[in-house]
Amino acid sequence: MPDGDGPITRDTSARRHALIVGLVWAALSAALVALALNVPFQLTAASREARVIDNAFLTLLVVSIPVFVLVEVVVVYSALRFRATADEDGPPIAGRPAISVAWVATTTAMVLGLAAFGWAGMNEVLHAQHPPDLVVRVVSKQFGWTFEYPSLGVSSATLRVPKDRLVRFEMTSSDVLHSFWIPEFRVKQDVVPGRTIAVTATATQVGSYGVVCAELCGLGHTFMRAPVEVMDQVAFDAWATAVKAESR
Amino acid sequence: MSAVPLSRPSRAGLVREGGLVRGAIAGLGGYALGALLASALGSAKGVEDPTPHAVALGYALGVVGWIWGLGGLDGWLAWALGRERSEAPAAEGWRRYLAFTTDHKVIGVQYLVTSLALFVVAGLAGLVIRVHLAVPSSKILGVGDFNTAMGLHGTIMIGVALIAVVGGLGNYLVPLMIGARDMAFPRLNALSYWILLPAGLAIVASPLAGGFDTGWTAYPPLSVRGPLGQELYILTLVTVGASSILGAVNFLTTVMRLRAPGMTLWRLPIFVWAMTATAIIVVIATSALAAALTMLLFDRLLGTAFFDPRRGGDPLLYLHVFWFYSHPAVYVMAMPAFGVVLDVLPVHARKPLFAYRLAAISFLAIVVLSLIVWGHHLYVAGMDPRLHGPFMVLTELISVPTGVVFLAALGTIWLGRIRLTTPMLFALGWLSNFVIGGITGIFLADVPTDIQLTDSYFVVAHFHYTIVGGMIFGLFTGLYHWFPKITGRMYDERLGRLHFALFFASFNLTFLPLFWAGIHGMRRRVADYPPELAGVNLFVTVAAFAMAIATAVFLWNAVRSWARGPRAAADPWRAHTLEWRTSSPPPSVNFPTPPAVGAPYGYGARPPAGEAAGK
Repeated sequence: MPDGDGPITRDTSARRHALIVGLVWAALSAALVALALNVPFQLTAASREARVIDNAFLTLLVVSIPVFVLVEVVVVYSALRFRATADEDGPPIAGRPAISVAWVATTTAMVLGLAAFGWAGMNEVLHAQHPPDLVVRVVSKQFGWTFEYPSLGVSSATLRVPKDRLVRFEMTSSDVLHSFWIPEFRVKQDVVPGRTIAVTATATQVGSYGVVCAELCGLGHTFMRAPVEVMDQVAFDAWATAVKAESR
Repeated sequence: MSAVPLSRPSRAGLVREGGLVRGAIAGLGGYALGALLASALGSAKGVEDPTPHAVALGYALGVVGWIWGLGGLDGWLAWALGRERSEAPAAEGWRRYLAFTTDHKVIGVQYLVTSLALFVVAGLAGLVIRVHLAVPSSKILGVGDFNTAMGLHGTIMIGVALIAVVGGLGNYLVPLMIGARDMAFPRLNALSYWILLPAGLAIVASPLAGGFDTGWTAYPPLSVRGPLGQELYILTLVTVGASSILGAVNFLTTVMRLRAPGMTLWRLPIFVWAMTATAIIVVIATSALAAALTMLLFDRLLGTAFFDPRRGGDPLLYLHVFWFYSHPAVYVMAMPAFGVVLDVLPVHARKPLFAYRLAAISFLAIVVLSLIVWGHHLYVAGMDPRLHGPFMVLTELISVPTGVVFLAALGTIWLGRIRLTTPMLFALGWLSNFVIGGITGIFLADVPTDIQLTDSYFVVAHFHYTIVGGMIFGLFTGLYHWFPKITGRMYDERLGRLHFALFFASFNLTFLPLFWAGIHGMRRRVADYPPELAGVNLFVTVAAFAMAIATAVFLWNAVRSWARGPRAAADPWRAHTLEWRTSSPPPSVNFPTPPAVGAPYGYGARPPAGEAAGK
């Protein structure tokens, strides 16, 4: 630091440093937030749940950016501007109670705000708004999936679900832990032997996706996956009729 | 190993005196005895294949034989039998590092060297994983070998993260920093180190016994069915846990009882505060790990059904008990590194530690909170959904005390007179990386985003930012900062900076892209991935090799400087904590004359040094 040691000069230069860092912080944060909001980086969102979760992700990202930028800017600025030029000590500042209080209060408020937001999102994702339109029994075992449709009396190696219908997946495992994950649906649920665990999802986009096992389940874990087809209701009904006729 | 005891005076001395040879013989003898006993019992009871039982009992008696053979029980036995015992003259020079020695400084170095050796082994396993994953549909490893490489990398790195700073820097520094002559229980201290060697041997040998394909978390029922290698994993972690508890009891007693006159609690260096808080977590939580693994072992060997749903057990029980320890364990890894960084920053920024007392109190808050957040590992595991919300709030609250660590660090460097030495670079690198680890932790604490991100590469990237970015960067900070104190020689500053530049860049290039891979649906712990993720995976593999090169630079610097570096002064950094008030390296008594105790971070021109901080 170039200036001398009079208390007055030091104070003004400290303020100047704070001002520069503040401006750089604000500019960089704004730029990164703009980038995050305008550059699509998420996986295809093919369900109602996916939109809630992507929205949550984006919100957390936007809140995180200023925190991240603050730490990086202070570190880089300090390393560049506060280099020792002589064998001397810095000012004997062992703390600033007001800054400590403000810091703790701000982080606490941010965290509680995020938790409240997360709680609302959780209720939206995990609690179905109405009874399911369709129930699919997901039977998992090392290393594959079978999908049973009790209301149709058929089963399938491909998970087929109608678009815009609330589907309830009831899962069981006959051997070890597995996890039912459809990345494009943002739906993931571990399957635990000895229990039946249910999750719901509403697919919103016709297309071909995949369900994969997300919980290490042994040698074949990598290859434990199955195709997922989201169809409109007419196509789905046609498929169900065809399969029923075939099995008769 | 054989060169050392051969130089001892006589053949009879080999057996009468403890040492590596007697330890190896007695260890093997103990193993044979245990294995035979278990086999005999097994056949008597009609057990089909008693091999797993033989290995378990053999291991247990082998450890006892090994410790007795080393001479680790000699002191206690002589005392119990009322026998006169002249303390054997302590080994001199490098040989003391190969003996059952009670000097905390020797034990600290033993821990450090052992951890670095294991760090290299596990790092190589990590490279094997990255080579396999360099291209999609890779056939380099079979799926079994892939799972074993992954389990080994994870388990050994967890071990390294648990012992390197705590066992290494903690043992070396805590007594020096509080002005003590040694730890409160020196023999227990040596014991806690030496029981780790059989554990290290067992885990490194596990691929020979079929490996284990559960990763480091060993979830049942898969782990109950796994091969013999899984049992070696269990025995290893139980031993590491026992060693941790012994060490933690020792640290707590040392800090409470052996502080030099004038060393009040609020004059303790922040590293000692961090070690104290860590030791409290270890004492409270580690027995839960032992419980989980013991139940697992019993399910495998004795036909119990803790985790077998067909007989009334429940796999979720394991997840709860396991994470009750294994989440706090993250703070056992990270908090001592917080302490290292906060201790190093004032020295090289020439300013008092900012908000010292608040930082120490935050460590204690982390202790409490770390024990009640484990449920965030179980949001999609089938846990009662009513628990999700409370666990989410508690987990996110831990950001508040962790944020205070950042306040202390940033407040300390702000307006400082910064010397960009290698330890300072690593401390600043720690800040830069760990903030990413902390922020991405919020995404995994938040229930909606965690549903998508858990068990994906987002988690892999996150915990490497906390454990490498947080703990390993803290370890390197400490290793460079205290290198002159520990070895009595200076490291090469240019190589140190090269190490920092390479390691910092390659670490970020390796792990930052993995967040993207996770967001795009790449599952963790898979041997293959969709072709659209080929680019990011190849990139990461190349960057991982750069990390290996950076580590080689460090090892070369450390070995060469230790052998031939310029002699270091007692206090090359002009630091204020007590470990610098004695020679480098310190004599075995630490302080030939009692040191004058002042404030730990009294930097600054006005008021005079010694009164500025920690009043």
